[in-house]
Amino acid sequence: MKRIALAIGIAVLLSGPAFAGDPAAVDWSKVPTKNIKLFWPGQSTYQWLRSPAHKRADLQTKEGQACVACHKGEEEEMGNKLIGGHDLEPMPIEGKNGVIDLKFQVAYDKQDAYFRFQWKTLNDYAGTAHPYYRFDGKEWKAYGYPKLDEVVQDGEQPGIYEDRMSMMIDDGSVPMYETQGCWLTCHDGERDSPNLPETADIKANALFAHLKKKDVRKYLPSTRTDENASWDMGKTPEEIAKIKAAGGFLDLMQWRGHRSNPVGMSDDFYVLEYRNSDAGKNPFGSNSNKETHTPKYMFDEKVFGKKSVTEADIRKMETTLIREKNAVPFDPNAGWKEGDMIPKYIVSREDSKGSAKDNDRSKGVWKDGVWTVVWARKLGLTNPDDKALKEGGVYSFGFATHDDNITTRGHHVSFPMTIGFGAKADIEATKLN
Amino acid sequence: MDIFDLLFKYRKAVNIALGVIAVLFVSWIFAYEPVTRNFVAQDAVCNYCHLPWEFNSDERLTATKPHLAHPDDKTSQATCVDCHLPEGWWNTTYAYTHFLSVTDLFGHMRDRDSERAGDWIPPRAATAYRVRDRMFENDSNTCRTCHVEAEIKFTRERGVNAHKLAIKEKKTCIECHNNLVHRPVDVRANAFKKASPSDG
Repeated sequence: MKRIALAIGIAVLLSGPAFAGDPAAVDWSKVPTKNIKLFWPGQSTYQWLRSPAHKRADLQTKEGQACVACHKGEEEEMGNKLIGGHDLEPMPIEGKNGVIDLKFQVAYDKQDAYFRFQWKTLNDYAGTAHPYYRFDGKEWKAYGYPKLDEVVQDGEQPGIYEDRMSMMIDDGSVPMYETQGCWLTCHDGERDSPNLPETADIKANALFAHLKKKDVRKYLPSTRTDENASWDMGKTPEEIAKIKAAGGFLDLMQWRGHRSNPVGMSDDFYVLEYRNSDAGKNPFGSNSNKETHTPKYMFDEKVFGKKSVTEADIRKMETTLIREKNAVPFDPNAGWKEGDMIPKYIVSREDSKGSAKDNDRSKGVWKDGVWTVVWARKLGLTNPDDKALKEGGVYSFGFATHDDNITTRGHHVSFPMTIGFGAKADIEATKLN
Repeated sequence: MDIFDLLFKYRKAVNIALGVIAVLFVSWIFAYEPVTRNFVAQDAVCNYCHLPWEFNSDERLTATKPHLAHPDDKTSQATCVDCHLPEGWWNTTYAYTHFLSVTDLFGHMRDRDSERAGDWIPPRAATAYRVRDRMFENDSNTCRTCHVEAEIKFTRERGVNAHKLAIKEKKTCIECHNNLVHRPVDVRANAFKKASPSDG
């Protein structure tokens, strides 16, 4: 009898609570919900916020005053104003909503932090489609673009892009992030932002040549030499490495409707001098064979039922090409017909590795027009490109969602807020037993 | 018949005339300030010399644009004299005496456009700096001549939030409300810093 009792006891200890590690198994009904207004920011870049155009607030912003010092409770008004066309929105999108209501919950136990997001999508379908290669009878050409692109605005291409939910996190190491949040990372010169530089100028810039990048993406002002934090005034790689070693970067993680959700993951990036991938490999990569100008992989007909999809299939079924599940090497002689489509990205849980694989427990379900995404992240990560969440810690978070076939700045964003894990903060995570 | 005999002969008429003059004089004393402010020193008169492009017409809170807080009430608009002519009978004379800078006027006649577009800009910027410093030191007393903090009716949430914070941090109007009226002049670095013994 004693042996049985001991065995049961050991089994209970080893198994832990029923939800251990699985964000979907958390009893979310016992975790308070915070309602967060996400709003359309237009082109309110770091530079604009510090210009006289940001009336009566440019000096205060330079000094580090919090956005909410003035704009608290104004999310709805601002989002609805900016979405319809404004000095800050030169590319208004017809029918787009200015605000999204996000329901957010957060909990933690000894091992993990757990997040749950719920938001209503503008469209009556899940944003699981992403740009494809389409066979036009002769060649495979890119098909589908995000809605801020001119080819979509001009009607030459359909708007196709995955839905996303993003988190940006700091532990107090990045000056002004607590007060100005994601706006520290959004600059003139970035994609779909004002004052876009020529690709040749980017390639010729010392920092971007070092990074081997040909576009400008999120970066922190601390990585630039001038007061205006211009994209082309980068510090040296050595100086930037010192900032990173001191923790002066932001964690940026994205759950993606097409490129991560089908394999139960979210990606893991960090923002410093660029929006960099964590070390290792994220769950998605290009499906382009640059030598043959064809896809690298196609669907496995035996598993998927067909070797490609058509426009009629997308958004009605999951069309993600998963390397270990439904993909085989591309066969150029498979009898392709005009209109056949293959995803531009190949996704793989098995191939993801390293620090970039940290978010390997997240899952989103779209039902009745609402995405519900649950997400677990280990506490106490020790990677040099992660912000380690710890019990007793307070962190500044910024949230964003890309909804309705869009990317880059075409997101709805939150003002920054603090989350405490066993500590006082704007939102206090519920401790799970 | 000398002048005194004449005055005596027509003393009734003289008394009436003196009475009229006295009444006119007293009236003029009382009417001087309101007439100057409301009828003489109108924006159009000021702008005859102070050229319109010295003003930021997008922002100007005068006759060109309704006051932000009272879009339907045209009588509440600020005019040039509301800020530039201090209250008081004697101060009102400034409306007439400031033409001592008439030499500028000759400058305009000689080379009206380029003078304003070029050489005048640095001095005007210096003026802006000087006036802002003065307003900062004097708790924006010019603004407070008309605007009473407790009576401000906010039209947007940001106004409520910003003023609450400004009161808490003991900020004064000019620290936020600059470049509202005249040609925009960037706020210079280290503006609105209170002097400290440690500065020396």
